[in-house]
Amino acid sequence: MEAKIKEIINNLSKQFNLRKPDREKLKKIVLEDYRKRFVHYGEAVGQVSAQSMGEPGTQMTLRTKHRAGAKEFSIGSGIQRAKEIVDARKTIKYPSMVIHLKGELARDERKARKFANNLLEIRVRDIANIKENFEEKKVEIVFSKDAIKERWLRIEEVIDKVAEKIKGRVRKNFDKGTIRIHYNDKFSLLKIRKEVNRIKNTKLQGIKNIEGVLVVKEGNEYVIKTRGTNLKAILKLEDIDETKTISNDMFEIYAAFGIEAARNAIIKELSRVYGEEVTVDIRHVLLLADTMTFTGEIKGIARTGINKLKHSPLARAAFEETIKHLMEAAFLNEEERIRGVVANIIVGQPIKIGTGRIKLMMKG
Amino acid sequence: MKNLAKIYVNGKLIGFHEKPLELREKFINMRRQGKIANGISISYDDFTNEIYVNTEGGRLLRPVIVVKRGRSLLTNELKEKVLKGEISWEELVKKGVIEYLDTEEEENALIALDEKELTNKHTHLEIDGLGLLGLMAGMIPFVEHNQPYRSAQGAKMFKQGLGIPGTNHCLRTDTESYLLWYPQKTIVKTKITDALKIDERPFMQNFVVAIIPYYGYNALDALVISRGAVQRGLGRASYFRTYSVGEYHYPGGQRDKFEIPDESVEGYLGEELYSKLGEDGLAEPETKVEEGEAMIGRTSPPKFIEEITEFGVIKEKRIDNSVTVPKGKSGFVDKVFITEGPNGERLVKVRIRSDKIPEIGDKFSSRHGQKGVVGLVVPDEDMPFNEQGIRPDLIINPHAIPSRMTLGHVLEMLVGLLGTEKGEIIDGSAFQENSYEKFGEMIEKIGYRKDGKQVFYDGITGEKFEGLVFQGIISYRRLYHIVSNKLQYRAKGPVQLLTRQPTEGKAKEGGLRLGEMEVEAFIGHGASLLLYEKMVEDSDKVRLYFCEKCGLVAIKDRIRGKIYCEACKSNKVVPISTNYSFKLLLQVLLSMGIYPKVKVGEVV
Repeated sequence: MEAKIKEIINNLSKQFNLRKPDREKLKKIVLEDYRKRFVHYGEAVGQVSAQSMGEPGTQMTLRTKHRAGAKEFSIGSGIQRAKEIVDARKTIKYPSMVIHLKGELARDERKARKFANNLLEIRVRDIANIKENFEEKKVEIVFSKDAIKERWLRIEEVIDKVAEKIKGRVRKNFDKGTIRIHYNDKFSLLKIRKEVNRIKNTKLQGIKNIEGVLVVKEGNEYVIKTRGTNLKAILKLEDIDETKTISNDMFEIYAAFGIEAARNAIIKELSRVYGEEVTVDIRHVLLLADTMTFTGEIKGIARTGINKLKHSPLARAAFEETIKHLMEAAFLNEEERIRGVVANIIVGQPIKIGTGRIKLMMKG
Repeated sequence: MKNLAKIYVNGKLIGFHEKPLELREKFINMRRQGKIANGISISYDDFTNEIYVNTEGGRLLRPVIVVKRGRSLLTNELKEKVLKGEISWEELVKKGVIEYLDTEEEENALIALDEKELTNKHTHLEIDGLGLLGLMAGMIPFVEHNQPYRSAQGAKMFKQGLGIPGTNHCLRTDTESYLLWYPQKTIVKTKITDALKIDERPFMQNFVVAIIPYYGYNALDALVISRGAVQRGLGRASYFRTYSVGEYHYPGGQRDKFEIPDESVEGYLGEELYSKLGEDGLAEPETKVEEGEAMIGRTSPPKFIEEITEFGVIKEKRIDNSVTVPKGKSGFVDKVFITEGPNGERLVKVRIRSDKIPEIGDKFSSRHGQKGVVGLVVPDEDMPFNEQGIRPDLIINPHAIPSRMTLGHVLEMLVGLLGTEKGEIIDGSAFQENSYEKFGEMIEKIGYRKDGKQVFYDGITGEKFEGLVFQGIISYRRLYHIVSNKLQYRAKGPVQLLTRQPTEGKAKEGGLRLGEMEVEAFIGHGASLLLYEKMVEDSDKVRLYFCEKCGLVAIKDRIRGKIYCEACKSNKVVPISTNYSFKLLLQVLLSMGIYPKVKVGEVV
């Protein structure tokens, strides 16, 4: 790295006609500055990282930003989103994907929109109201014309599609937008209720979990932004540019692409969340992401996550569930080597960090 | 049912009525005629179509003049009668001229502030604008010129002001009380202060206040105060603290005794510390008692009765139980009270008095929520002065004014100046017309500028200031937050029994806690040896011996000079210096049934 800096300075000095003493002076200043930025021996990088990310966290707003009217879905921001990532929460509040398209779809807005609408998951319960009449064993499905129109569907198609999957006598009414079902005596009341629930959950189209889609122009191509995420299913589609399509759910990324991708997702997402309001050195984010992923799977900074990985029983007990950890450690005959910060504070010894890491010896 | 108004009495639904407004009208008329008690109120909510009648105690009521058809019922004729004293308040209320409204009924009323603005829509007329305010806010002159919250803050601080605590303060034995030395009448009064007779028991002093910065010593609400003024008695107060203790009786007929303990007494403090006690074991009035000195000498009977030997009864060894002066509470013995306690024992109360002279850190405030802490006491000759040679007692920072918008403060300064020049006390009640113009013109007549600004000279260099300085006279009060009563420090001191860590809190002479976040900051800076010093050396450092064989804490027998392990009787032990709380942790683990085996060795 130092050689590279020298090279850059040499090139620059040629460009600006710097004389040799000035060049050497500049090199000295820049290198000194560069060396100052090293992490020194015995420096408590974890603690500094935690403080450097925790303190700006207190300044970040608790408010989630919703840009009203803007053509996008909320992808979460501020301290809540940061907490979601750091805790490695499985269900996130605003799951979202950005789907990039291939070829003609990426250029043609109408085609992209049509494609996007096909992704939207629609079930019968979203667009219809089901009335049960148990006395006469009759069920009526009333489709809401507005709801169907909103989802760019045609009512005839929908009714045909639903009717196909119904057992029992069916009477369709396209004008009113209803389906009437008459069950015979073979159906018990319980069975009818089960049938109704099955109809309610019948999927008409789309991909699971995709609740909303938007086509947005990004640069000179059209991309689809979604509310709800299902990366695995989307990646199986043909017209997708699988090199760019991304989700904001790191567990989906982990399942689809593996741990390195998940690590990058954590880094990217944390940098975005922090970058909106404050500046945090990337090295802190990197350290956090590495800590969360170095085991090969995503571990949150929580008692169920990395706290379980610690070797020191005292350090584990100091965090949460003290008695449980002490009892477990005793049961397994664990040994405390007293190396960590917490353990050394507990036993009243200087911690092995910074000034406590080094010792001076007399010569001779 | 839908169109019927619900009627609630004290929150309970009692019935319905078709024409709620007529009902209310009738009710109010009956009250004005005296057929219904004047403390009962009725109000109508047209949104919910409900009538509320409230009769309960504890509601806030205030009197207003009744208005009918745009005319005040308090006619000129009546006013004259009131002035002559021919008609009393009660009669006015009985006649229905004056009516009490509560907060809910006020919602239905339209109250005019002034008789001139009365229209047909008005239902009531304010007796005076001051009626809007409570007693505390009413004592603030020119409140209507202030931002309301500032006035509220100023009103809050009335209860913190030092003054004369009571007419019998010489004989009172409160644990803590203050007495302001030279309280003054306020130059700017209000009608409310008159009604409360504040001038007969004042709690404020009139300060000459200038609004200029003073070398940064009055930045951020600090105050610069003149040493000359302080030496002349400005803001000076006495602080009284009473210690009370009795000759308690114990089962078995023994009792405490007030006396000067002799050397044989257990816990004898030394002759010097008892030197202020008189023959009866109590400190003499007007002697100075210092920290640690006894002000009440008292001995208690021993905790355990001594055994009787063959030679007779050994003289019982009494325990010293004297009351000593706590840290930072030295002063003069003001008065000694001897009375009788509830069980017939002798009860002694000693009141210590100390002077609290304003110093850096003491708190002062005006009536407008403009509080500040003294940042510097300046020698009189260094204070800036005006052409007449008048130096301010107090200098506040100009930045204290604009953002807080306490124009009442500024106006009071100006009117205070006017009052001092004219030698009279001026009424500064709220809601006066054109107060700025009125008082500005008055001050102009005396020879000041209309805005009260004056030419000033630097007290240190003697140079004339470029700009003009606003100086006026305003009443300030000293607040009971006095530094010398809050000051606390610790180098060594008491420790907790269980953990051997330093105690917490001022009363226990405790230290300041090095909290979790501070520890994290030390770690982040790599200052691990500093952390070690704070957590171990300055706290509960202890030298423990651990058995090499079983790893438990060994026992040091000082009498026999032996160190051995009680568990395995071995005497192979290793010394370790650690903290006492670690020993506690090991014992807690043992009590949980966990065997913490400590292995000692160099771990690199």
